[in-house]
Amino acid sequence: MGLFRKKKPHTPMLTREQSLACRPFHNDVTSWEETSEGLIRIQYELPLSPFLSAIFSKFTASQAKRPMRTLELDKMGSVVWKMIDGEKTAAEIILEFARYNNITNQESEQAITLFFRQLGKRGLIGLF
Amino acid sequence: MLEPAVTPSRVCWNGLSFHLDPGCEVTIKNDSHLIIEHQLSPLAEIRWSITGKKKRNKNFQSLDRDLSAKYERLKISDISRFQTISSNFELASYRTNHGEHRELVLALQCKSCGTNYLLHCADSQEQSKPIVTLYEQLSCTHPGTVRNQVWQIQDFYFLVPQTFSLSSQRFSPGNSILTFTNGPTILYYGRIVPTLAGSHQEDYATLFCSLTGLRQDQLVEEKSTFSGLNTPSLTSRIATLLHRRKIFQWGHAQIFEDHDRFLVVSLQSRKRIDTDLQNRLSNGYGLI
Repeated sequence: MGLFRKKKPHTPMLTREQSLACRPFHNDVTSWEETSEGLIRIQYELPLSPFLSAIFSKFTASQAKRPMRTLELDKMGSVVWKMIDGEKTAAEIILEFARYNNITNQESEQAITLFFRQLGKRGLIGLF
Repeated sequence: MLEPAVTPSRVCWNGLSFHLDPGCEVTIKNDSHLIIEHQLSPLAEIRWSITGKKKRNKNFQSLDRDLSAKYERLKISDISRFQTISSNFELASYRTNHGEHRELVLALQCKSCGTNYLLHCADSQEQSKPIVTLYEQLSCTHPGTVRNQVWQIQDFYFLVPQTFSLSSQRFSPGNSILTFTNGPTILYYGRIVPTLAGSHQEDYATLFCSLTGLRQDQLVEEKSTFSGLNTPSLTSRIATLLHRRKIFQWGHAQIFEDHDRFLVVSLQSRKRIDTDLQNRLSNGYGLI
């Protein structure tokens, strides 16, 4: 089967310096609010693959809303979410988070890059 | 918001010790490979060969020959800023070009124990100061000396008895675990950041038990410390020895509420754990 599989186009990987210089921003299609405990609750459309998306549009009315999901961030996640303003670079957020939590920059970098990756997979943030 | 972190200025890791400028940090790649960064940009890289390991230590002349073939050899006068080097080292310097980045490579050999160090650093004036600070205070802590026994990394220090050697390290956010071995005896050190690891004050006892392998009923809780010892009965000792399990367990932990830190030391062995060793270990670690 491997012979007939389409080759994925090679997308160049960002270096560490490049990715740290990126500015994360909130995706416009998501809506979020702060709960009374100060935690962030995000509502977002469930990302569907083109195949599933085609099936979904075939069996539902054209104006039908996509399935929605709600995500509630923990205390740490909420702090980072509030730091994302489209102005600060990833490196600046990492350094600020390290200072805020009294941890090393290395720990902060690991935690934040993982968090960004998870948010990015759900389409909640973008990088430019 | 917590108190601002005290910037650790000294690093002691596996026989090597040096000072860092404020804002600099160390990333540990393995037991003999460190990367020094300043505000998330790499400054220098140190690799060394550990004496006593299977891999034979190259003599300095052959190391110099190998490096001269790869890089452009420099005279000592070309690197005048590094003149303050301790007389304990033999030094050879090289320059290399990787595209836009010019790199300085310093080969050092400790005159006392023969350990070879290779220091790669950026060859630029702006980054020169932290590298010189690092270089000035670089010292090889020979195996067998008292200095070698106290290690210092991140924001904590800990005692490593002479016979133990580092076998693994894991640095995940808020959770650093170091494992040392001495034959069948295993020594663990853990540094936990409770808020980042999602632990709360009431979870400390559970956290301690999960890290040390001890049961809740074996725990002795004091003001801000935990300790525990598992000495099994003779019958259970025979039964577990057949399965080659490490049955003697000891652990000690300290809570640093103000700094949001939880430090743990633990020993697991097939033999009875010496009380003197327990005392030395429980008094030999802490926050900087």
